[in-house]
Amino acid sequence: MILRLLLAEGLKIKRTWMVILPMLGALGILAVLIVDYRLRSEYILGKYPDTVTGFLLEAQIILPITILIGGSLLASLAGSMEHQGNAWKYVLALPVSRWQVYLAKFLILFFLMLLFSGGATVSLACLWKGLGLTGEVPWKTLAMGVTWPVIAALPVLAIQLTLSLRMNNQSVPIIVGVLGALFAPAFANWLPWSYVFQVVPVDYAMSRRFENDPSLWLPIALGEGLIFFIVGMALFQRQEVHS
Amino acid sequence: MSETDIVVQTKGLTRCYQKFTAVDHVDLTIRRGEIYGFLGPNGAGKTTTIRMLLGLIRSTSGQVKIFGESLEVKKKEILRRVGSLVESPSYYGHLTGQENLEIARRILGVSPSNIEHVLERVRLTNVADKKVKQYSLGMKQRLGIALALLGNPEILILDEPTNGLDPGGMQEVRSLIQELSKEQGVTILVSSHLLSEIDQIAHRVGIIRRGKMIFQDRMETLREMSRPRMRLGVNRVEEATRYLTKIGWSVSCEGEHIWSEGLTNQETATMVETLVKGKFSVYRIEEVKQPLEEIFLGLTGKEEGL
Repeated sequence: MILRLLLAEGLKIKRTWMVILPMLGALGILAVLIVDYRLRSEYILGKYPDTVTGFLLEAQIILPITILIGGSLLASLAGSMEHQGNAWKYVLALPVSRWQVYLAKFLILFFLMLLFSGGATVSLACLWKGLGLTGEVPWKTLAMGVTWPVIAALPVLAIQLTLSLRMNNQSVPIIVGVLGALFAPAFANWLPWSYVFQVVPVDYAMSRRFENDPSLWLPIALGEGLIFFIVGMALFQRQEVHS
Repeated sequence: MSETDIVVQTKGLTRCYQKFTAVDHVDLTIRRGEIYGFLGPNGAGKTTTIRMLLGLIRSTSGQVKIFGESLEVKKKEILRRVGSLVESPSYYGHLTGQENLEIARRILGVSPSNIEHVLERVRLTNVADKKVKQYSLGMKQRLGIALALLGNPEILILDEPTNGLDPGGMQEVRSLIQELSKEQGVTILVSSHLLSEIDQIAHRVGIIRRGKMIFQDRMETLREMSRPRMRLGVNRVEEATRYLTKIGWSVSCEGEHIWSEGLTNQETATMVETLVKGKFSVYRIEEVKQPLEEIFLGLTGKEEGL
């Protein structure tokens, strides 16, 4: 059943921005870092103990915000599709369990986020080559550098998807997503929006953010993501379909 | 009538919103193979009832049994055998009609040939590759019916299926409903706020008003309630009415005519004789049947804007 639902979800995202958005995000990161390295490459190269660390920490200018805001947008696009065409009353009168519908939506969302991390890894590798940095392209580190924040964003993705599925008007979820991304990390490191900033796969001591500790925050994000996911699923299970 | 003949049954079905009771102890019974007309003014509780039948909203109290099973317990199994169109059509505007059906087909797990079949049934084959947001309201409504038919349902629940259709489209939907009932024995619940919509097609009707079921019986029974009235054209009509009333006739004067109800042939003859003896000229006597719509309005209350 889940497979059938995923196939249906796959068809739904045809001709939408949902497939293009992760690619645009990856290209956006590439563009910002090109400018960054163009303007101040000597400063950057001198500032960090090694090139990979510098590379990943510089990517922090743009990567976490892109993941949080991009994730909110994707969740909104995925969650609002049925609201727009009054389709909930049809979909939920089909012989499917609601939790499966919710799971399928979440899996598609997570799949698109992974698509983004793939694209971003390739972007970073291209930049590495383009800048003529020394040594082989550190594929594994780069991939971890973009995928760990995506995993750390799971609680936020669950919150956003739940909001977008519940609300007809998508401005509320979008506002929550943007405000969370911009302000929550400055407020407290235990807020779900902060984890994305705290999982850079570089040595703790070298990081500017002293909260950075993937071995601590990744499990927390996974656990919290699971909790929010279950809560969202339970809310969706009970949701009444009026529109 | 055996128990297995009843395919949809609600007992004391109630739904409250805070202090407002939208559906109030509704006992609805639909038998296998029949077309059940669910009538009521706007806001009477039709859609709320239908949403509860499909498990889209919860009931405050009461129960729903479909195919003899409790909807709460066997929801998925029941919904597999039910097709629905609730109020405004459901669709994904950025996809074509064909793709919309394909999404539902993947979830239902039915054969791809079903898509061609239902598209033909609702005459959308030639626009199947157009995006649904470019469809007219009538086309969207027909796509909604196609979606409802896709899983070869045994019960079809259509909430105001002719909404937004032109008269030709309405007639087409009515014919389609009759065909499905006759040829495939599909049990159909069709709701409307207009009696004329289902007058010719429903076998039985349920009339709901302010959340309460106020009539549920065969269509003929509703028709029998339409008692004929007698209309008499006479000269000096007001004087004649007073004259008749004085000697004990139950008549009323409306416009240029005298009206009376439930007269036998003999009574009619006697009344005419009385009038002639009283020196009134009787021009014509007509029997006027009360239109069904009037009865419906009488039941549901004219004030509730239809």
